[in-house]
Amino acid sequence: MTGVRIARYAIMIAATLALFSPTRPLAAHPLHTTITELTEDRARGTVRAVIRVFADDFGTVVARRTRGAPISEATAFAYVSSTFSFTDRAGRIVPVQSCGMRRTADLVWVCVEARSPAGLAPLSVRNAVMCDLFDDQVNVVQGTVSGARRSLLFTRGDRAKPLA
Amino acid sequence: MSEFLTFAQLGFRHIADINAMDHILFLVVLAAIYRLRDAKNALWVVTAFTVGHSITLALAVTGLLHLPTALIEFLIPVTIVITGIENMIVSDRTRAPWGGRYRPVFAGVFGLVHGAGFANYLKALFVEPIAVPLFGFNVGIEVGQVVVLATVALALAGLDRVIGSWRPTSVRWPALRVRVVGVSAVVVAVGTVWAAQRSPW
Repeated sequence: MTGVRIARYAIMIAATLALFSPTRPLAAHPLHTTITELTEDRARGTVRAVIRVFADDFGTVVARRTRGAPISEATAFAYVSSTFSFTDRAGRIVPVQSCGMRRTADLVWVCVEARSPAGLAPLSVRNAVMCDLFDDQVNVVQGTVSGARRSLLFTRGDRAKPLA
Repeated sequence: MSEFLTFAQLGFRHIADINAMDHILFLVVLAAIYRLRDAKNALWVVTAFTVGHSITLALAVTGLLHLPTALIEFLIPVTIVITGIENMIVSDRTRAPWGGRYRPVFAGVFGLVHGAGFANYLKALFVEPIAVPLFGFNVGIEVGQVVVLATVALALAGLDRVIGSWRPTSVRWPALRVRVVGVSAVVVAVGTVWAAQRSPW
């Protein structure tokens, strides 16, 4: 390869670098996803959702909603209960309450519980967690309903989807 | 929907999303040297890339391999830059080492790095049992890659036509070479910026 050719490539690359340098920082390719596991406790007549969400993103969305408050069980529940819901067959929202929160290395696990003596089968679920932060958010909701494994996928703007 | 299809959709969305520019750019720079008639060679290279990233994805998500996230995020644009530079340097592939047949090998090796990038996100989210979600996610990624590659191939064919009709007579390079060097230079530039931004040092 001649020196002229190398110089030509170098100029091309430098010119393109100059073209791209004012753009916003190009972050790594993130995965904007939460995974929710649903379980039912027939003896207690309750259903439970445990939502796993990346801690850094969750911290951002909670801080935004609470004007800077850190993640706590109260702030996590306040946010999740406004974006995650169960509805019954009549389309009524089933009230949820907190059943705890814990943090692991990169994740926050938020638990919410609702009364449903008939288990998961008669319920619909909606999961818009983090959809207010990311356009490309995808939420997976999984559970065993009437003996069969069910899996639902939610993106921004999705309505409640039946579990059975 | 089945668990498999849910995670296949997740994988597809992950790769076919405009925010997935690092993986899309790698596919662009891999495909940049091929014409539609070279589809068989391109397929070999992409298959090698797929095998590479499937291996690290499986190893890392199952916990058999632990990789530092910052280093992997830095190495991904480095693979893009190296591939682009190779595109620009090798003007005659028939005279390159091994007749240019080393390309699937390095696509496979670089695939190992990209698979580790996916895995760093997934291993945090997945809990046992992970076989079905992992397989579904991987299949979705592969389907997404085929869609991205088909789109890239059509865009490159269009670019060839533009170059063929607009190329000044003073440019002695064939249209394909102009395309390879032009596309690769842009990709190398973007990859260099990313590598600098993600440098762990």
